[in-house]
Amino acid sequence: MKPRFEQGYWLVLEVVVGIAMAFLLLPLIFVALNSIGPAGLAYFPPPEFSISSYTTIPVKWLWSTLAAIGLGLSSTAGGAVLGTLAALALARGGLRARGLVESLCRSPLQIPSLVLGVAFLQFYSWAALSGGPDLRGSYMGLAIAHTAVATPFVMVVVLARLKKFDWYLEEAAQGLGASPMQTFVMVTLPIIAPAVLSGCFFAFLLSIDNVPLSLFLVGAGQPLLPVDLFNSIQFDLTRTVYAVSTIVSAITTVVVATAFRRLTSVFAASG
Amino acid sequence: MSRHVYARLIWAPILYLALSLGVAVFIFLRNSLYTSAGFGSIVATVSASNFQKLVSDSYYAEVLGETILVSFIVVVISACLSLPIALYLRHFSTARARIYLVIVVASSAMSLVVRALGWISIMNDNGPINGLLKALHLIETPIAMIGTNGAIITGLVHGFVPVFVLTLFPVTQAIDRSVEQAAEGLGASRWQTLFTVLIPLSMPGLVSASLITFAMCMGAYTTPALLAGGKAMLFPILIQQQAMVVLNYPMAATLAFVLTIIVLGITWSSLAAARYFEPKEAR
Amino acid sequence: MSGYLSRVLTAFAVAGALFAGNAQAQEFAGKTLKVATFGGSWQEWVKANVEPKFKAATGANVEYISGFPMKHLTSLISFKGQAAPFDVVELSDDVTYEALKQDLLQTGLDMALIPNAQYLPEPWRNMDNAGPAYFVVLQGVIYDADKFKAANIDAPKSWDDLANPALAGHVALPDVSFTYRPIYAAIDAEKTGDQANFKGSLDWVSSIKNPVIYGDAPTLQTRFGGGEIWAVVGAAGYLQRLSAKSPNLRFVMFPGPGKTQGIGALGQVRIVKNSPNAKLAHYWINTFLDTEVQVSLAQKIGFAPANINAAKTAAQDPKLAPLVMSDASGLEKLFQADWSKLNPVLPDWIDRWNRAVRR
Repeated sequence: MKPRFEQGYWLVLEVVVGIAMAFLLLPLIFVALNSIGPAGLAYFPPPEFSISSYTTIPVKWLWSTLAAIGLGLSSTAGGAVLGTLAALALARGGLRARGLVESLCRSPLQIPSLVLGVAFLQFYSWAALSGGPDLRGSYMGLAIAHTAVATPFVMVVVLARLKKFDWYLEEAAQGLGASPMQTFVMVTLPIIAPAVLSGCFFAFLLSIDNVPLSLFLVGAGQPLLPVDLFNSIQFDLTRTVYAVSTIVSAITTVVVATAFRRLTSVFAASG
Repeated sequence: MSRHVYARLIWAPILYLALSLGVAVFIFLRNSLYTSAGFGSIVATVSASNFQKLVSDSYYAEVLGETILVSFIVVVISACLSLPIALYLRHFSTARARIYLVIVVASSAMSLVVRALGWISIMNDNGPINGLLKALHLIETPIAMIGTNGAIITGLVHGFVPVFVLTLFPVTQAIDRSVEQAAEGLGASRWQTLFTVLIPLSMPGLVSASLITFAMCMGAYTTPALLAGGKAMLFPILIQQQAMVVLNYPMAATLAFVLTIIVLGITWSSLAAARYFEPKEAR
Repeated sequence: MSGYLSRVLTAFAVAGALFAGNAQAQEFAGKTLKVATFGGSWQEWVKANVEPKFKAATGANVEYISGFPMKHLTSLISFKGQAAPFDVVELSDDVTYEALKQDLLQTGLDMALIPNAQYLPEPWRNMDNAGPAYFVVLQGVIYDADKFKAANIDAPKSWDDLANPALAGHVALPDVSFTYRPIYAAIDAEKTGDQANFKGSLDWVSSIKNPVIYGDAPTLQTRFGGGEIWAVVGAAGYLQRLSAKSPNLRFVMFPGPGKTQGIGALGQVRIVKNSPNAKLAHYWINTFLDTEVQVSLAQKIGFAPANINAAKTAAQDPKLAPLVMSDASGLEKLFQADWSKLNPVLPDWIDRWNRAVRR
């Protein structure tokens, strides 16, 4: 009786996860299919088999992609530091107005990105008009906004992990003569590292695809992948757009797959 | 490190957020008290007329209600798909599990706009889903999918499952294996272990992932705008019309303000509820 | 003017521009003109057809910022009273009206620097003293002649023909927040006598059975690619982009209010107020109106040239003839939206549209 019941558990798990994976892959497969064919307007099926949509991708897309990766990395790095600090303070600091502070730190999540985009544009215009720096159309301006949005992503994940953190470990380390800084670097940080990484992961993924936040903040001649993709389809839809998206997705997949071994070892170490 | 050292750390993120996002949002939301003189020009006389309009017209409440409902359904479906994925990744470290995690990340690496266009070509009247149903003689005439809330929910779930999994993953991964083994040693079946050990211990992750997903869903624009096919309406679309089509910043700010308050309220009460039900012996 | 004579004159104009260009090459060397433009294939076309001629004439560089006109207006508003974020901006005429009203565009252009404007119908040469139109967006219906024939439906001759139950689910309409409001204004004018009375077109929209609504070009293209759309209410320019899928598309315009035979909106290219490169911007506009450039505009993009000489050349191709307006007198037969009436009511229109169409 029991073994069959047990097998049922694994079967259900396998089936549900299988369905979920098929669901996640479905639109990706269609985008990839749509990208195949001669460069030009994207209609399916293509008139002939060709990969010229890939071989004719203008080099500007490379700059857009690199710019998006650069912006994503810098804002994720900023968000990782700020988010981790916020999570540590909230979990361990015994703050009096904890609820208020936590929702303040979460607030970038709760305001729609497209509102934030217009809000930052108005902020930067106001700053420029008041004699401050002009951040409109600069990577600095974009990075400031993206960092603000990345912060709560890291904070929320780290905070969830810290709920199950055994703080006696820190006290034990200090009891054995470690300085507070040593304790943090040698004990606390390694344990929360997977959560920080996980938060960084999708803070980055969301930054490189945040059209509404960046749309109004990029300047003339300033490349940025998500905005360039969005603008390039305002007039028509070409296979090049599908091809660029497929490549970016594929590169991310490869990077993640190779980084994975390293990542699992970090996860395993903390488990 | 001692508590008061940790407490001081909060100043870095608080100051950063207050001086960047805080000021930006203040400047924007201040507009909600002003009135629009059309296409980007603002009359800076303070009044509550925008809020009065919102309250007096039930249309806004209806759209808000629908947005909350859609977001709630997206959270539930995302949770039902993400928890098994997270548990699978916890149980197995096989090549297949590794591929699964890569799929999760890869799916979120594709541009939302392009993904939505992919969905449109899948959900077309003559697309593969309708084609399959026709081939199986399940339907005669194609089902119109684009423009329904079902299409929007599908697109949003696809967008948020990776977010959900990546938030949940560190928590499920950190559950101590000995607790699981102890439960089994006491004769619990896998299912009993799932409901009495794994799910309760995953709760912090489930709560924070649900809240993130809910908040992002309430403000999501790109996916709903494309899959609404000009027929369905969600709150962010209303905001976009005001902010980007008629450039009525006061009205856009008012709508954004209301949305933010609603999301904050729901987040707050959920966090409070979660804290109430949290196992007390955790520390 | 005979075709031959016009070609000779065009050749002179080009030669003149090139000559002037050589003299200017020094003046503008090392300068960069920032152009706010639509994106996609349009930008590729601009880069391939306008930019080389402009560079040859001035020696200056070009940088693009792409986006829809309302987004450019948002940028201009945020930079008001400061250094311009870009020098030249491509706008639709509804947005031009607002930009002018808010004093965001340069007026009093030096038309001597835009000699190609002489090929435009007189009213389009220097509109509101802020510059010329550069193409005409003819608006009407694109229908798939094959699909109509297969379903035994006659070619549409009026807006009401699209309410045919046999077309249920196969008619695509532009969202009111999209750029084809002149269509709804024309229907309003026809049905109620007042182009700003939205009831006329809203009733018409609700008479269409289960329409496909599109608010952007890629959605229209993707859904058209799926084969469910037989008729598109929109601009002639889509014919080019959609015929890659269905070879037998036709564009028709319907007689409208007054003696109008169709609907036209104007694409406009304008110099931004306080642009540091205002003189250079004149050359850009002039290059855009060049006859060769404008012929290519019709052939490659399917837009109706504002340059009548170019329109005449393009109209020699029977496929392009219905898409261009090759006679300056045709101007009077076009219904043109009155944005001073329509822009103020847009918020109200969107509100009513939301409740009627978006359930």
